[in-house]
Amino acid sequence: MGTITEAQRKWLEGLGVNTGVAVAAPADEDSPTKGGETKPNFDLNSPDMRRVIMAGLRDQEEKDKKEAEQTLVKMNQALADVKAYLLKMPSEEMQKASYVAIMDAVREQFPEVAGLSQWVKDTSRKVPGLSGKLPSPKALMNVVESTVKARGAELGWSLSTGKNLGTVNSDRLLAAYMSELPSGVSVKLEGGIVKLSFNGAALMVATPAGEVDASAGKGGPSVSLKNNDFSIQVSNDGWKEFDPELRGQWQKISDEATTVLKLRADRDKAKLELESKKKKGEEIKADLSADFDKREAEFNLAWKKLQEQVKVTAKATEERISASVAYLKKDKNDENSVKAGIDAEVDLKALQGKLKAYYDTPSIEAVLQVTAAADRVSAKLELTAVKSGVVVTASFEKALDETKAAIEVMLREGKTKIAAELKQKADDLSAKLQVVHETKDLKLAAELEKTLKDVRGSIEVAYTSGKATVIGGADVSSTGEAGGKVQIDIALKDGRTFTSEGDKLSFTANVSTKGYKFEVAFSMGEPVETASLQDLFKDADRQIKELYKLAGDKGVRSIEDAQALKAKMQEVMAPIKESAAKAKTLKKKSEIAASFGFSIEGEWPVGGRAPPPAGVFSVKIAF
Amino acid sequence: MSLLQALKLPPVPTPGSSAAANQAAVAGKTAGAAPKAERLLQAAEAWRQTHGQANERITALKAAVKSHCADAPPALLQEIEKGLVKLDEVLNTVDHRLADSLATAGKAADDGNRKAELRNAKAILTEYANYVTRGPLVAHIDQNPFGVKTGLQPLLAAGLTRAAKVI
Repeated sequence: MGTITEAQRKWLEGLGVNTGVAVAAPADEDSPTKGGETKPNFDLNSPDMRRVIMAGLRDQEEKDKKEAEQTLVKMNQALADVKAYLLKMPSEEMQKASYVAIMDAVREQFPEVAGLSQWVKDTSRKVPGLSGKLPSPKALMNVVESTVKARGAELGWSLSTGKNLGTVNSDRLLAAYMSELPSGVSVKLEGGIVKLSFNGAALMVATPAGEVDASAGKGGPSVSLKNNDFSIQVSNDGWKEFDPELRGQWQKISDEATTVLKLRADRDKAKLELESKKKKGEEIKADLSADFDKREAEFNLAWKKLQEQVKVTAKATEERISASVAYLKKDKNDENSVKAGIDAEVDLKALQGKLKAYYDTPSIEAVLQVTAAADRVSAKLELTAVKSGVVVTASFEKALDETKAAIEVMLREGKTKIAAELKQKADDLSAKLQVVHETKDLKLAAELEKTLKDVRGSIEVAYTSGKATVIGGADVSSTGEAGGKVQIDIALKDGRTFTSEGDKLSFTANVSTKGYKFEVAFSMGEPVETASLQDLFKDADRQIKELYKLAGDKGVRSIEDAQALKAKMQEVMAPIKESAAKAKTLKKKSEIAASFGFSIEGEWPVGGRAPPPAGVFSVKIAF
Repeated sequence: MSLLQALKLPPVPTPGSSAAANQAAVAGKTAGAAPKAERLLQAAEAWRQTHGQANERITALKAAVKSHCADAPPALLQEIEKGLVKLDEVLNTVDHRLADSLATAGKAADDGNRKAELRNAKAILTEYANYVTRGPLVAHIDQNPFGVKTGLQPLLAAGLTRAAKVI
């Protein structure tokens, strides 16, 4: 590669690129671009290159759209689950609760909806074509509020607080914040000051080669394997009409009919033997008679049971398939669906014909004819439902990304052989996942789930045998335990507290290699708009990670002067202050009501300056 | 020789360049003569072209960065790929909504509907203008040290100015 200059490195880092990962790999001395000379080896305007570029753009668009559609399915389902959860909540429990308590429970039970607001905001920008289908950023609060009101709980809360409007208002405000801020952000109110805080894991970066202390990684390298949901599912409204378990039930009946056939054969054999002996005038021993009686009883019982099963399953099948036919034929404009509906109707009639023949003359052979007809129609419907459904792989992809990150760590750790094998498997999974999207092959999907589980198991085994830790954060560790000589390592190990006090809001960031805590405080009298807080937390997270990355910067590692290092750290954290300064506060009662979407009873408290939350570390950097 | 020339990329049109001047001349010619509806439809098309040009420049920048870093370790390449995706935010924000709105206004059945849609177009234009002039990403792209003169801010600003005149 062309050597990345300092300016280029900074520019890339401005896009969130962790250039620290480059340092871990030694530069190729034979590189033709050694020395910083840019030597592009292709013509960007050539038709081939433009075709590649355009194809890349289209692929990315398609990928974004697919991801967004999958997440949308999950979000809508989660909102419906939240509603169902609240409707089922015992009245007594709900009467004792509050908006904050309910929102807290909802965020814990359904963590995916905690990120809904931010996701809607990001997706409406990233996939504008989906804007009309996205829920409101306030959808979670709306669902909670409407369900609580529908159950009459809000009135009860007002009465229980003696109509203390201050309590009612603060409860709503905090719940509204909770509904729109990421799940990790905790919200509380103390003495009229709203306090929001977020705890993050320390980012581990690789230090330049040769500078890692021998004691580095005493606790072992860290890899993250937290996302354990790697299910691949098909989402389709049609599943509601067609019960995918029906086919399994008929297969079971078919198996049982075969068993009954065998029982009948055994009985007939025993009967033949008995009759043959009778015919020959031979003595019929008691055990032979008993054996026949036993077989006869076994057969009769199994046959009776089978007939009952056929009756029950046939009734359910006829109802379900009729519903499926109606569903498929509902949209006259959807030709494929209507065709599938007509096909299913024909198959249903064939099944009904077989059923009639069986009811007229019940026999095991007739049952097998029925099961074959039922299998044909249910197999076709299953295929139709899968074909018209959306394959949801978001959880799987998240887990796969996490797995790949862990494999990268293994590679850097020198576990090259096992890592190479696992990397090959992980890459295969990515390729096959595309096949699943295209073919909707659920059998292949099940294989992928199993393979991913196996790969993750191998990673865990590799780290357990290496006495390393498996924790949150998927980057190379070395900063935390490195050295004791390099000032930035010492600063991050001992921890630094950054504080800023402003008219609108104040914040404190406590950062060390054990993790970080970012806290924001402002007066309830002049609450900060949620969008500003979303931006602030996002910016803080990014800049704090930049701060950790300083440990991988060769230039910063050479800084010995404490003041110079402090200035460098201030420079990295400065964008948080800029973001805080841009935050919009809501001064009027009407503005607050409009922004959060709830009505305010009584007076809203007066605003005031909030001091920054308390710092943890002895070295404090104010700016 | 600039990298742009080395890469055989087309020169970046500036507000004073011939391409821009031609477009401005076309806009100027039609400004008085063409009826309002037609001018709105032309403005919609002009914005789509501006958007397309911006897309090409961002794509060229991505290609230049990838080319420069082509031999980087896979981990860094992956990071760079992820970082470059963020450049798409510009055109995801300054998107086709303005063109759609202008076209809707151009096709409006009566003045009332047209005025209502133009209010929408104006709101979108304001949002875009704020993003282009204040958003850090556009400036970040223009300040790239990979030798690609994207000139996104002047390009988008000129496109917005043309749209604003029609609105």
